[in-house]
Amino acid sequence: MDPLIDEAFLRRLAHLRFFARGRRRGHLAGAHASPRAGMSLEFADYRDYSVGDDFRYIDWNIVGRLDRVLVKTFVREVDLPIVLLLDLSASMRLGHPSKGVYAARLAAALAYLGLREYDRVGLYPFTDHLLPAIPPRQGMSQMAHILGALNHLSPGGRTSFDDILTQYVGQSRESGLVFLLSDLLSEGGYADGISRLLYRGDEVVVIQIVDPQELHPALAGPSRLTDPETQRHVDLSVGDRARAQYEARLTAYLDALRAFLLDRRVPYLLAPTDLPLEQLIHERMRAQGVLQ
Amino acid sequence: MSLASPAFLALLSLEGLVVLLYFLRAFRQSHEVAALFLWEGVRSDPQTRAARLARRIDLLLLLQLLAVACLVLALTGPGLRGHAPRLSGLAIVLDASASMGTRTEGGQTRYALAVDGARDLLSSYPTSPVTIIQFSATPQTLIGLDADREAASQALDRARPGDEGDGTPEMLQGLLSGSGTLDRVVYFSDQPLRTPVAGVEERLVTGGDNVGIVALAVRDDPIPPAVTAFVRVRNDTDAYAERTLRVSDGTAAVETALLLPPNTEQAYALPFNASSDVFTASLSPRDAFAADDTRTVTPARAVPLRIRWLGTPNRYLEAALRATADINLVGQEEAGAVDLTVAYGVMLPAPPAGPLLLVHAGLVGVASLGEETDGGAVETTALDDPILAGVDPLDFRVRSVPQVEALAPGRIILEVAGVPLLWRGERGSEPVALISADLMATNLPLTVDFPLLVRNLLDELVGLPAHDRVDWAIVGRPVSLSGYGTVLRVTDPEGDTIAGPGASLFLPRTPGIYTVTTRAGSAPLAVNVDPAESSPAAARSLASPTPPPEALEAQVLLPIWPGLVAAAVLLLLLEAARYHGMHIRRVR
Repeated sequence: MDPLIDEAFLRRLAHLRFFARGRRRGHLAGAHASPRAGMSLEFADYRDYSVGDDFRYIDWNIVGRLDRVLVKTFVREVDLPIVLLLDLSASMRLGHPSKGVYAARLAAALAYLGLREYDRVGLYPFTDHLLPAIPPRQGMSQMAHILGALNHLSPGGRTSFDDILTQYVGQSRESGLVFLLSDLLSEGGYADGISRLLYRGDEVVVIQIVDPQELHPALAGPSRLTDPETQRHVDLSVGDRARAQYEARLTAYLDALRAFLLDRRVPYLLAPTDLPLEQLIHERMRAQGVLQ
Repeated sequence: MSLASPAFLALLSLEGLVVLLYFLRAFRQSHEVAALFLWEGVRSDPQTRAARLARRIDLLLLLQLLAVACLVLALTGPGLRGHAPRLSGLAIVLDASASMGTRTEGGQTRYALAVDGARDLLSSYPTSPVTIIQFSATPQTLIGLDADREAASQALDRARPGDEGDGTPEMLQGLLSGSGTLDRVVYFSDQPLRTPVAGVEERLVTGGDNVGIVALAVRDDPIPPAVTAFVRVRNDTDAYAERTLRVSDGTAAVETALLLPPNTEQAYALPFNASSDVFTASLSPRDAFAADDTRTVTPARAVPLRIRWLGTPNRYLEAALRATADINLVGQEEAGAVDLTVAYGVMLPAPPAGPLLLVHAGLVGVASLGEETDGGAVETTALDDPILAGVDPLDFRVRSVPQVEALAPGRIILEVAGVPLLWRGERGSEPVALISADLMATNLPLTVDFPLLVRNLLDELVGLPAHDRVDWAIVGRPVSLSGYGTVLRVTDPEGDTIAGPGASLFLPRTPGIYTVTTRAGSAPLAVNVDPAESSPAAARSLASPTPPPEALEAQVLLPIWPGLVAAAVLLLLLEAARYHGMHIRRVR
């Protein structure tokens, strides 16, 4: 078993599955309802008989009562393409464990959940550009590809969410369930990128991974604060007041992000790296309706 | 307290460097943050300046400053003035015999314990001249009184026990008398001297039990190849000892289980069929003194002499030669080196290699025989010559003797009518002897002294196998080679040549099988550790320890820098541990 996730943890994920709110336009059979009619046990609608329709689906009760020949249609069940957009900018290497490692473990767990339900899962790591990706595919052999890639990824470089999401929309051909795994602590905006995804019909789940030190920093004294992505730095004497100012600004930033996503009905989860992954998946993601 | 090198105090200025580095480090700590844009615009906290000042008195800084101070002080060579006894000469004698290699219950050898004792003694007299003697059958002075303390310490580091036996009290007395003025002589050994030596303070170093083979001999049985090995095993412990005794000649072997009562010696006879001349007896399991758990023996069998006979045969001379030694007579046509050439009734055209006995024979450049003349009474001209040892020439009669026309320089021993009858000399480095008369024209073969005369001639020309050849030799004691004929070389167990042609003795330094190569072939010789080393129990009780002689007091400087260095290391370790602890807390 890969060290990113252990077997016991995977067993506890066994009864979970993704919940897609809308009907998906997947092209392979799966467990998610499609907007197109298909072959399943779930009734969808009636329509007028036309030449070539199967006689077995004519509703003879309706013919008797209304003297109209109607055929029953059923829900077509398709797979759900799941895309893991993984931030690998330099800021993701901060923390103990690093945010990058936490994100990789979470991505591995999500990939397992999707592949176990016969969904196609793909991995798109990115910095300020899309890194070599693993396109969505079905089957457990895809799990090995994803774990192999996750094990060899190392954070570095800078990022810009608007640019990267725009690139992704241009590169991928179909919409799906998109998980954005990032610390989302970037000066560049994120609104345009997320809007583009939603506009195309993707269901987006934003999981913001942060180090607890970023929420409540324990810095004290004269400090040189450096941005690992841009190498810019600020010299500051940090005390209670400076920490309070920072926390206030951070709260405002997070509130704005949360409000933006709430307006667009995008599930949002804040995941500090000291939050057990199991708790994040079993409690918070279920509470947000991402999993059922 | 005084400082040997006060100039090093200037290095205390390094303390300033430590403080500077500390403040440089403390002034600004570097951190990476993901959301720098959230910190930009945050105003510095003025209260943190006070906090920074408070942090300046920091335990880490204090520990660093103390460590640097200790190191600098150590460099200055501080010492405390004191007084120490001083002797005009101290001799430390370390018994370096084989038994000192016995491992004691503490894991150290007796010799190592003796060296520890010697070091203690050295430190008691830090200013006294000292000589260190490694004492055994081949004693050695490691350093003399004129050497310094550093040399003494290095000599003790290098000193190792050997494989020799014990030295004698007389040897020790001789060594000490040549060592200069000595106020105190301390002898470290595992057994007391056989007789006390005046002025020598004996200190016993004991420990380590021993069960060992103290004697081994092999005798031929009447019906070869059967032999019997005789082994004596000594249990020098206070408990019963179980051992397995094995005797082997490399091919055949015989084993027996032994149960040895405490402090006893038992003899065993083990018969078996042998196929070689090298026998090894071994005890298993081995014990603290392994040197006597294995012993070797090479039975002293007669070494045949190879003699080349040229000219007329003479059964009287041949019989006399055979009566003297184990003879292997070869003719002129047979190749190979010989121990002796006998020429009878012939004029040799060319000189043969090696010793030569001319009987009624000549050799160009040595002796030339002419016409026969009438003989007469035999006159002795060199009565003291070893060739005549036990021989009475008055019984000899000579009917006729040839004129000796030319004779090389040498010694005429017997004459007849003014003509040399028996003569000895040298041809190059090889001995040569001449009996000028034909033995058949004399009564020599009929006299009782003839075999004696032939034996003496053979002994002088070749060197007869002596009576003192041994089955084994002892490490550290010279081994005579007189019993081996003409020795070409002696090689030790490693195969290195330790004695060359013509050597009459050699000194074995290690136990094992040595090889003596002669003209007649090679003979093995077993060398063992002295059996007396197997039982180093006190032969006599030591007299009550002699009080050390009164020593003059001398001023000494007792160094304290090792303590300062240790303190500095300790402080640095404390600093590192504290820093590490703080770092872990910060990370958490």
